[in-house]
Amino acid sequence: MGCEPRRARRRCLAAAALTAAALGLAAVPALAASRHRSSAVSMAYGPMGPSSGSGGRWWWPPLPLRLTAVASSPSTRTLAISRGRAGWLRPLTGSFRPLRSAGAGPARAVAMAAGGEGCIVLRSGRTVFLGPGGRLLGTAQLPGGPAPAGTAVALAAGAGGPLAVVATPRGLVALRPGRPANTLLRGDATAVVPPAATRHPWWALVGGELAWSRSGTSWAPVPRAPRFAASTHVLAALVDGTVLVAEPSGLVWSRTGQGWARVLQLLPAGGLSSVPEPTALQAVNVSSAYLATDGFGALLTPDDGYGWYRAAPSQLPATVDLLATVGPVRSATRPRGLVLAAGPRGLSVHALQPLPTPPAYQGATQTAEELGTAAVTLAAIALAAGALWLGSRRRPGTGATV
Amino acid sequence: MRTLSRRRLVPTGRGWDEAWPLLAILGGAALALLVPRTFGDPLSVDPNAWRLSGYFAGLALLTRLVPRLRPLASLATAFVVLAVPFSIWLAALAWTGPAPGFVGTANSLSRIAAAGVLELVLVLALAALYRWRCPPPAPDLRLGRLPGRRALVAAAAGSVLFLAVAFALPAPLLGREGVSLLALGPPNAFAYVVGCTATAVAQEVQFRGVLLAEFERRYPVGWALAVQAVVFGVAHLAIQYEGPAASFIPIVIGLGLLWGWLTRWTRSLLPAAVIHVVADLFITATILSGLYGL
Repeated sequence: MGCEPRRARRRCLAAAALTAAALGLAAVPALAASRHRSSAVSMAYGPMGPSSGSGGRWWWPPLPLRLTAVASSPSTRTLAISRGRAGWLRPLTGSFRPLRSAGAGPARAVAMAAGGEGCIVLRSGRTVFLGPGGRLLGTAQLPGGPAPAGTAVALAAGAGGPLAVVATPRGLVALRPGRPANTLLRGDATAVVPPAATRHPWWALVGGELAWSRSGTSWAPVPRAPRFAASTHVLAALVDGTVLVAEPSGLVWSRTGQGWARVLQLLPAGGLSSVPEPTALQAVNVSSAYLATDGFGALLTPDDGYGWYRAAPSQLPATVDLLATVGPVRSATRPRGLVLAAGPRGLSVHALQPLPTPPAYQGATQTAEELGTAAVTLAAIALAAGALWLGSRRRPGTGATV
Repeated sequence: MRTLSRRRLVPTGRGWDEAWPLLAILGGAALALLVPRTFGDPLSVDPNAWRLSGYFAGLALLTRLVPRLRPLASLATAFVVLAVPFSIWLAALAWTGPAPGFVGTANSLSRIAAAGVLELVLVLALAALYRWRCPPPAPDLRLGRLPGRRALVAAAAGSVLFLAVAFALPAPLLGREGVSLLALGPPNAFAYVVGCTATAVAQEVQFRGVLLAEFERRYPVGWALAVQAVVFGVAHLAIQYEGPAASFIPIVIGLGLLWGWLTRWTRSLLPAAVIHVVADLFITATILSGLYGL
């Protein structure tokens, strides 16, 4: 009986030796295949971050910046509001430089246009317009006094100069530098987005009703649009013409060429918790958009709202309040740039990348990979059979039933 | 009355001697599955996991041909029942060659339903073959008898309990964050229901039918339940590509343990099959894939 453990140990050692031999045999085709390894993997996954030391994190660790507003910008810097002060944010370096002159003072909302123009809505109601490079273009004043909480602004440049459309609880207001304000629609305006591309309309939510405008100055309700909850403030327009609206109940609507459809319903967070509220929508690329939530981090749709993914659930915090993009993210040919997600834990930054796909091997590489896989399989069969052979032994009564 | 726990092969030695064949078989499978990842992306070279099916089929053939290994042939064959239908299911989903019109195009909803039904038919056929070729003591696949009242009650109560627990757990733990209403709309729902039902029933026949029966022939009941549950959980790694399995795999192992116990307690596959169908429909409807990075 004392021999039993020794025999078992010898079998273990023999099996380990067989394993090492099999792995060594399998390494031969593996090494051969690795020489032909395609660069498709690196092409499919793209750059990982500003330095090679990102360690596989595609959303960089949160920068310690508390932002209450951030604008989407076509360049490498954008306008943002931190601790009530507006300033220039450079996401790549994490630096935030408050504006000292024209835009100084407590701020409510910021926006940037495709040409690099910017505007800042101060709490006093004064709106400052900046040209590309940050030079002052002029100012305008919101009617009715200070800008209340919940003010949102969208900016677009046109033939007559920059046009800012401001959504306030008092209504939708158009502002141009040096000109009096023009109230477009009365009501509780909760969201406004500029045209997603040339000849696309502006969109706004006023009292739960979706309105649009070609010029930004004359607005009308969108025909046959659903009536959303009055407090709905999450809206995005995609480059392909799709419009996404997310209601506080967690229901997301999509408007495509075929009309309106409910595309996503967020579920309760578990137990007695309620449904997390959508907090922001940000269009990227041609048909993709990120949806920020108060509890589920961010979700991503790559196809106008048809399918949805959880975006980086292990890297983004559960609460994301703001979304913005920096760089030419809406380019139809080569979208690139950064996605910013701001929340209580700080500012998370992500370099836009294509969806992960398996690399496509071809020719000799494909053949080498297939042969290597087949060789490994045969080696595994041989190893397992050898291990079973070593472990088997004749015993009396094998196969009898008790 | 003879209970299943008595219908085991004569124990031939210590626990290690009984466990050795299973460890050897699973170790070889792990090599076949994982080593190719060191020199390429197997999802591109072998998206249908033919290497796993080939490994188990080759091993089953060897064990049948070599007299000294013949007592282990049924164990190897049980794993063939797991692997081969899975590979054929994957291949059927992505097949772009000639096919009847009603099965639709590759990865279409009609194809999802048709591939699920094909997998179920294959599993039943291979399970019958396994049962026929298995030497005594004959394994009890729990397929041939009508479910009793206990099985029916367990099926209904288990389904309700599963949904209650699934909605009570924190949503991010499971990825249960939203329902894609457009993707699961009425035209698509039928195909998903057929596909999920067929694959869930097939998995129950594979794991709680064939695998559990084979392990019960060789090991004590507790070990049989535990090992089939672990194999069930690890096998579900095959359906994940983009996300970590931190919470998913342990949950699946727990479910495998529970369903295995339920199968033994009710002497029927029905409760586990029904709850599995409910679980698959729940997952399809409510769990969003995680893109870890995007």
